[in-house]
Amino acid sequence: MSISAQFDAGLWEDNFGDLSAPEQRDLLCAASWDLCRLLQQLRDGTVASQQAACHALISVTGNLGYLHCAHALRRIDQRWIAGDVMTGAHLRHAVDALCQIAGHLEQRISTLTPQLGGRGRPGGTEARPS
Amino acid sequence: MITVIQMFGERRNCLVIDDDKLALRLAATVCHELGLKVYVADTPAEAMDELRRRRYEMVVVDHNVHGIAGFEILDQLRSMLRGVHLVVFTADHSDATRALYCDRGASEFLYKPLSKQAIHFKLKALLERAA
Repeated sequence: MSISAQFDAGLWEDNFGDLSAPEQRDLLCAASWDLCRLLQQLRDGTVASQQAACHALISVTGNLGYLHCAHALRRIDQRWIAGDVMTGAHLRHAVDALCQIAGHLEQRISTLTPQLGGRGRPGGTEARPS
Repeated sequence: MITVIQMFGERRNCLVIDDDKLALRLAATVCHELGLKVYVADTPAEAMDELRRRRYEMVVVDHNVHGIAGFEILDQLRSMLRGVHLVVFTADHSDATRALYCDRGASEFLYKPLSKQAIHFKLKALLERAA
């Protein structure tokens, strides 16, 4: 069964909405780097490192506002703890969702990044050529 | 509304030990709102330095900090944690994990994914019980 990469904007706003755009961008950049590293570990690592990555990703995805994915990863983690064997097929849906999240994070970071050539605009649209 | 800082009469120190920048930021924000003076450590060595430097009212520790289990960190810091309220962040809901921390004096557990509201509610209740 596929895993949703749905973003809960309200949770992010509740947790980090009081931060300035540059502060949010810095947090998202650091978290995005963590997510990509852990995603690679989940996809290509040994079973032990896959399990560790899955556990760490619960926190990373949840804190970033991707609660559906965080809860799905938690279910996988619990099965691992219970001694179930997780195959590549089991993890494929998680990897697919995490790839979508990585792409969405790039968009969010881009939206918070001031555009070259002048005013950074909250909508993240292209700056007009000068 | 009586704030924690009013109850204690002075600003108390809280140490947050976590390598997750978002969780660290979230916990630090809530502790600050509750009137605690917040210090952060993202390695066990930093935590040890902090605990040597000043007296803490509360220590919040993650279950996994750079691959080291939070309870192992608590074991390393044991002699400096007498009388300190211990709070654990974890994504592991198992009774076995909970028991590991309860044996080491943990007062409260916060389960990941975290929300600001949940952290605020639990830490405030803990500080009110302690007052």
